[in-house]
Amino acid sequence: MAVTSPRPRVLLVDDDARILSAFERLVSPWCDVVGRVTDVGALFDEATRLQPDVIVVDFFMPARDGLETCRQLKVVIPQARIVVVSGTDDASTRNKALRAGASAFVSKMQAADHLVPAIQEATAT
Amino acid sequence: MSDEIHRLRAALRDLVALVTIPAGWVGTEPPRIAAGLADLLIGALGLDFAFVRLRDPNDGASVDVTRGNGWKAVPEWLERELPALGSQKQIVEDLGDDMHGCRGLIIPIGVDADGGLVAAACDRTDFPTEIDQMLLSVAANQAATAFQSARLVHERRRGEEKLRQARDELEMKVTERTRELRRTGAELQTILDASLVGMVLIRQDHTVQRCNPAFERLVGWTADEIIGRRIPLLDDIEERWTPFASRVDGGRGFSGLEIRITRKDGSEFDAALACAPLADEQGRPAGLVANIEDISDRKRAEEQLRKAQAELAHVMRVTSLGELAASIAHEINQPLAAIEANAAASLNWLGASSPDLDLVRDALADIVSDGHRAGRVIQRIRQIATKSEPLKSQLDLNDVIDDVLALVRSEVQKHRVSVRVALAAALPPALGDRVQIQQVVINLVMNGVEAMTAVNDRPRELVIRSEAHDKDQVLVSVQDAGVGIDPRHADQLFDAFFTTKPAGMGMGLSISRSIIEGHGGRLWATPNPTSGATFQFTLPVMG
Repeated sequence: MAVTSPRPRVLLVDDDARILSAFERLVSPWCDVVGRVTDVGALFDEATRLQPDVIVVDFFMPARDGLETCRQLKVVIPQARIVVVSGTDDASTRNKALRAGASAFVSKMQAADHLVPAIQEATAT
Repeated sequence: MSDEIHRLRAALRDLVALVTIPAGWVGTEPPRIAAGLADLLIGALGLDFAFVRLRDPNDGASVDVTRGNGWKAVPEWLERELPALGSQKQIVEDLGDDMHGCRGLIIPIGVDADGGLVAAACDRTDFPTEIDQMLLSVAANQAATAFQSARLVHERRRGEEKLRQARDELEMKVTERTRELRRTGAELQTILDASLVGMVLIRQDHTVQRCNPAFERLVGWTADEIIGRRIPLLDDIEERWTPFASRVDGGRGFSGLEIRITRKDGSEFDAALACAPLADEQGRPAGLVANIEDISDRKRAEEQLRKAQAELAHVMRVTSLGELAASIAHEINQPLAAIEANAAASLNWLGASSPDLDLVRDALADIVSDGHRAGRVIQRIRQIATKSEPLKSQLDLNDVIDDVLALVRSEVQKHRVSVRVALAAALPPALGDRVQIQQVVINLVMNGVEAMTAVNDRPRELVIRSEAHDKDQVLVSVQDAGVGIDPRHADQLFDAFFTTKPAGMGMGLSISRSIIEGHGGRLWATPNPTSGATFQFTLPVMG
């Protein structure tokens, strides 16, 4: 396996801890997972504290509009790249995410193949 | 000497006359006896005046008769002297008036003249001789005896008359009562004959005493075939009656019991049974009367209705699954995405020059676990979508709530609603059909979520609680912070086809209520003090 350098520092955000574990195992050969957030209420504090290069965030979190989350993240930590993942893979959600400032959009069902390249592309730009 | 003999002969003759004549008085009325005696004294004994008073010592009734014109003042004399007269005869020396110089004789009858008296007067200078006194005494006593006999005869006749009247009255009453009984009997027979309800009178020995045509038609036996005999269906009735009869107090019956009854040809039908005890003249149990109504048609209709309701409930379940399709897809996609990511990660790690096998093992364990997780979601969907007969069993309502939340989680999140659960730790198990109760919880949760769609000024929070309620029920409540209940619609909330949602069918709450009531529980809604509404239902505890 080819490990590129420098390794991006990644913050993983999903209300489902099992998804977070799986994503961490998936991306850790290429990235440094600096934090995992399941409670969206703690997201902005954690992002501010950890200053990650990339935030991988679930678009549909409890009691929180994904669109609004992306916009706020761009305000709180403008330099971080946002990769939106979603269980819903439709053009409307994808467009919304990208318009809100996300660098990439990955369907959860295709995360196994596309998440690492999406993070790498986001950090390369 | 010859005068003496002559007088004695005359006295003897008079005595015989006195003794024999009163025989004719027996049975005659007291006034006639008194008059007869007075006439005898004047005519036969040759007296100039006679006064006869006959008196019934028992009731004081008296008869006075006077003959001759002398001693007119005798009533006044008696009035004056009677209290002092006693039981002794008395000779009155001077009678005054027309009989001035004549002597009178008073002879009381009975003690203190309680049987009356005889007063006589004569202008003979030797009056009253001993023979006069004797004859008058005999006459008086004879009259008194006849009077008493007459009174007795009279009394007896009166008694007989009363008895006859009483007997006639009794006969009339009996005739009237018999006529009434015949009429009542005929009316009863008409009622029995015309009734569509089968009626049978059963004796204590479990044999048929009487039955009506409707009963014959229902069971296929004729009255002639079964009266005085036992038939199998009586055992059915007795079986229901016996345990009940031991509990009933005051001879009351029961009604509304449903049983299966076997006809003569062995076929069966559903019947509603009502029984009442019969008692004999002494109030002892003498059997029972059973009313039997064929309710096959009603049962069929009820069964069809139940099937239609189950069909509708199934359609609604499938509909709600359709509405939740995105949420359910998410609940399955989530573990599948984790599985794929873990599998891809494992492959990556295994491809490394020195694989971290612990990490791979953890990933594989998660894959197995997520596989189960996805399987459980699919199992829940299958339960809801499967068209099966309702099956009531022991039910942990906390489990039911967890299952529902697993299916609707994504839909709830999509509406940016946070769910808070407050489930009682030691909730007693309820008795119910799992799928149906899940359907109710789904309806209530989704109603709550949708009620908060337009809410932006406060947290969209849904609180689901479970708790023991009263002593034999469990309660589940779903509290939202939505638009609440419009008072104008409060009465219609649970009506079929009532909805305030643009795309709603108005069946969810209606079906939910019929499901809960079908379980012996209650479903109702109350507005919250601040905002929104709380829908809650109870179910009986299994036990």
